[in-house]
Amino acid sequence: MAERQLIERVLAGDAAAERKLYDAHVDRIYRLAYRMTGDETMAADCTQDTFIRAFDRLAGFEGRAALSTWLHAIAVSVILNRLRKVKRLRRREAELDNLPAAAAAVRPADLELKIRLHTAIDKLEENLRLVFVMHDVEGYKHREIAAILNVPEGTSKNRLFRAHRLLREELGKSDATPAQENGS
Amino acid sequence: MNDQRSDEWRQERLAELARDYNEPPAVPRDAMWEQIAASRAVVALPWWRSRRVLWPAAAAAVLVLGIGIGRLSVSVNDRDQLATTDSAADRKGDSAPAVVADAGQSGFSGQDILSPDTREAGGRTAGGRPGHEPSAETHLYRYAAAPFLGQAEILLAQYRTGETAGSNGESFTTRAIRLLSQTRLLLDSPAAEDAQLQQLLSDLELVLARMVRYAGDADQEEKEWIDRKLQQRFLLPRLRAQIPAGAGLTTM
Repeated sequence: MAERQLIERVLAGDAAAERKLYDAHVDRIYRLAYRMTGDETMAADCTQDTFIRAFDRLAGFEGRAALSTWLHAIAVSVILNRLRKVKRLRRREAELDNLPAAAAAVRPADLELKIRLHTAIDKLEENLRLVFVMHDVEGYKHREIAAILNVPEGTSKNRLFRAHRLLREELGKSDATPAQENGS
Repeated sequence: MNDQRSDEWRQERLAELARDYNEPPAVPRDAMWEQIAASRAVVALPWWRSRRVLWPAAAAAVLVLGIGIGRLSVSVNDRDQLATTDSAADRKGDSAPAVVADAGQSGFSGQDILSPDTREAGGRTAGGRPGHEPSAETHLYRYAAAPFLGQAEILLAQYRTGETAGSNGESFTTRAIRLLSQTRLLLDSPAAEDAQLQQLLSDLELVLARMVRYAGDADQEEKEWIDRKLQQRFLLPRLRAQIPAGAGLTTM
């Protein structure tokens, strides 16, 4: 069924068409939400919010972009909003939590490096992290990212370049550490 | 040349290491769809049957009733107080009726059980204005949040006693996840404009988030953290203070 037809059926109140539309897009939306939040509950909340908003606003979808792009734009807005709230929450949690940090277990060097990288990805500015996750981790094309974020393709490339540079710097630091330790 | 190779190597290594960054689990399609469908079903109700109308309408009815009873009891108390004042000359030092009258006018029975933060802030009342009574709107949302708070109280109480099965067969984790989602929705709603309720919901959100994690891997450290926060933040007494009688009896 063509996308336009599916949308028309959804707008006419066809529950089966709603589910079909959901099934066609939910996996990518959920994966992106999970990659960005790292939390099952939050990823599910963001995905649900995205589809609830999308169904509510579907009548206003003009079809100038692909439905997938439009859905992703809603998802990105929902995810970034949720992350801003969570940041506040985590700050509060840190304030409240007076537990001393658990002693780091001894880990193999590669795993240690991976953890450092993942921590560095977490520390990236949200707009850099979003492009990095979409492009490098989830395999979106720059053209797609640009349409979803409503920015020129060059901006998407530039953000990815900056993310790579920052992450390489972090990896450089962590690569240096074992070498220095071995050398000493 | 070497630099370029090194850069390429680093680029590949970066991509390889990033591949499992927040690796998503299987997509819970059906569970999410159920929530979406339920939410859409509420939206699809005729306006006069929607929750947005029914809850405040029910709350407004209760509020009107409450105000009526309150006025009646205040006037009775006034009469009692007058009678007491009249007889005070005869019975010197007997101040009990005046104390009862004060308690009758103080509004919510649990107002004095504030969060530690709120207490430190000088007993700020609902709405964040010191010394001001909560608005009618605040009462409405507080009333609308009551069944949810009742369910949260049941969950926390069950956690403490170790009985984690829900009455309808739902697992502890499922209930904790649902309550966590509802807490976040309430935090986004006008209910959170009430400073006291907002503080309570924020504390509850932290504990529920840890409970979801704890139920997953039964980590002793998580359990200790939850136990400590329940105690430090007086969560159960604060929840109970916010719940009108009977609101917690909703099936979970």
